[in-house]
Amino acid sequence: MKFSGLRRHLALGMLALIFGAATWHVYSHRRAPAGAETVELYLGHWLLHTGMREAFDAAIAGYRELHPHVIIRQIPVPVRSYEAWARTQLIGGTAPDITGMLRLNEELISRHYLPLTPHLDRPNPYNRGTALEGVPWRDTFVDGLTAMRNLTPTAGEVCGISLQVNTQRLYYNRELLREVTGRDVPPADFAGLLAFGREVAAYNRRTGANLVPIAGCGPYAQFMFDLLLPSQTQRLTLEASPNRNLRILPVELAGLILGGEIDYDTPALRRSLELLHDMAGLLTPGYRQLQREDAIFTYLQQNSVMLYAGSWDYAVLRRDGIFTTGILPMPMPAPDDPVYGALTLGPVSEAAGNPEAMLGVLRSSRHPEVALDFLHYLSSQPVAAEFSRISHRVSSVIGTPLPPAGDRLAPRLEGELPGFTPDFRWFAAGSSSNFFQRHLHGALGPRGDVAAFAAQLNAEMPRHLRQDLAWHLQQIRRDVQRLDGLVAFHLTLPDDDPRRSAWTRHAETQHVRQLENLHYRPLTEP
Amino acid sequence: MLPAPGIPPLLRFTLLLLLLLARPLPAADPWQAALNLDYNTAATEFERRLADDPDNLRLTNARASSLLVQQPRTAANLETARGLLESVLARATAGEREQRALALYLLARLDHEHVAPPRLEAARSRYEQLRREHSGHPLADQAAVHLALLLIFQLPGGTPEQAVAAVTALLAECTSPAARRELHHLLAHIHWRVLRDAAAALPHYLAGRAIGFETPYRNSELDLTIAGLAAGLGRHELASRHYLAFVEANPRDARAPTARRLAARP
Repeated sequence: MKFSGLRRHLALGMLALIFGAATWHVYSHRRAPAGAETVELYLGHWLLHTGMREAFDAAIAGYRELHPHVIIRQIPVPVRSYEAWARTQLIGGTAPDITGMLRLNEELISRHYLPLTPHLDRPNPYNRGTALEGVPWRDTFVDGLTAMRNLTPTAGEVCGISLQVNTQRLYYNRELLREVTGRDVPPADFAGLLAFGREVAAYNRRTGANLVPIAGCGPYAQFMFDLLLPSQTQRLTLEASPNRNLRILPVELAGLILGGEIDYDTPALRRSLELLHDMAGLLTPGYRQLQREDAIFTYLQQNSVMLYAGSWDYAVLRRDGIFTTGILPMPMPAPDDPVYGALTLGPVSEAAGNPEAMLGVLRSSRHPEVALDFLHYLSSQPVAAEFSRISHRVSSVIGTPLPPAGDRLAPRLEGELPGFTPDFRWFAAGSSSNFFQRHLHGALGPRGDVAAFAAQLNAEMPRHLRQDLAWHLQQIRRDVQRLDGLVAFHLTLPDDDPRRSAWTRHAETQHVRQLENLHYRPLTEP
Repeated sequence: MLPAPGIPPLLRFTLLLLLLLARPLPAADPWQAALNLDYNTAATEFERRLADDPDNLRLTNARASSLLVQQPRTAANLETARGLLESVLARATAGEREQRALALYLLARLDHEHVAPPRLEAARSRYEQLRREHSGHPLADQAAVHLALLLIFQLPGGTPEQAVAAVTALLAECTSPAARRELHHLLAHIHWRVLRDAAAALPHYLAGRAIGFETPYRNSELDLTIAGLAAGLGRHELASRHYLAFVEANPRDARAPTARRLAARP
């Protein structure tokens, strides 16, 4: 009995000790400077791929040489749990000073991240002496930070920068390509790529092999379609953009379809579906159920001649392939393409495609000015060059040398406006996208019927679009309500508070959002 | 009777230690919390401050505003906000016209956007009261923009042409640039997006653009719209100028090469 009581006390004591230690850790977290003058910053990110942590370490060490009183520590978190981790840290008020912005919504970003917009028109001081000296910070990035701006459309602020840009490429097995086609140069254009698919089929018939032209998987195929399908909607975008501003947003596309102006029989949309059918025919059968590892394995096992994958995969292909891997930017339909040329304007710029390593400074940081300075340093041309070299990734800072042997990974910065994809990915609650994806199988494969799929979309899609539109407008209405608060909070600040004058900007945002809400509202009813 | 379970001494000590370590949280600046979208913290602090200073109209309006956005949104909160705003109307002296105008504005917004279902006629009446009693005040001009939206989209009856006439009349009465640019934009919107009349829309897009918008990138988007409409009307020099303005302001935008090419088109 006495022994049992002792055990109980011991257990409780241990619990209390652990609890006390944890409490002390939380209490003292970021409150204990290493020295009177020392500034300690934390940088949380999900970038655990080979080379990334080393690249951050090198940049941190370089910054410390310039600013010996600043200590910066990385908090790398696996990507699979990063989203939950970041949200928990943000809401709990314990997020690192610089926190990576992966899959965060606008509300979380606006609430927790400092707007960088006021700093973007000024040059990055660490670019002094480089070709980017005097260039506004915003314009030192390949996409002018458009992708970051798109994260916070209501606020209209840019709250972070992206250090890198991802591209997707066709990787090819040079030896296998020669065996199949008799050439060791890859297809030069889109028509050549489709012809290559036919050559692989002929090779299989001739030799009894079972080669796949392009190893694919669900997520990477989606990247491929996101790049290729807009080629067929470029001219339509130019001519039918509701605001004539060279783009058609998903809500605008929904409006055009629900308003009866276009449908899936409109040549641009129909041709997009046909292109999807043709390209899917080159991929691994059943690719939609496969994941990245499956596609890479297929390629490395030489069961496919090519692989469509990300620039981030190049390192593993170089390391594990027992053959020579060549890199090819995905051939795009050009205006002279015999099948897919009529509706295209030409290759699309990849500048705004896939930002990576998005970082922002938290409002709760005790040293926001130092954190901002570090972001300037990280995104300066000399540091970006070293970062790129170590991480084997493509920098988003313009003029930065490409990683070793990765010259064909660079994004194509020139090109025509991007069109749109007809699948409504990322639109509102995803009802339209789900419907598209659920029924896409009917258009794929040798017996795929694109016309029947288009007819199905014409018949059923409006119902899903109305649902998504209603959801989208409900979100806008919440924004409009919140903006009433913002306007009023500014107008109740003391008369001499400099923040007060911003009320007109918030009122302006509210009018824009309200106009969108009211313009599209009638389309939510059949 | 069962004896009350005692707290083990070690746990008691730990709890005591934690109590000693615990510091009262510093009072948050409710305005900063609100501007950071942390509405619930703002609402709590505004409520506390208002309890200490109930005659302060500025705090009353701020507290009412926080009730409009506090989560969860409840009808009771909205009615409390209404009561606070009406109390500002009743108590505001001649020297407190700013807070009175804001209270009127928020009462209109409450009926327009926050209550379910919206009370559109009540909102209209409040907007008109604000315009009448605080003529020339920037918020009265903002009320004109909301009135215009009500007239165009929400109140029953009326043709687009009648909406154009009504909004044009409101524009003539407004002096603040922030409201004038929005009313021009609304007129352009009706002419282009509803009536498909690019020639009528273009001058209003140009007028709004000339005043200049504050939201980042909006001027540039309008440059493209102006250029697109001008090109369609055969006004190539105007189109070229605005395509190039877009390119200059957004050299890295994915649309810039196309805009540059279109600007060079004869």
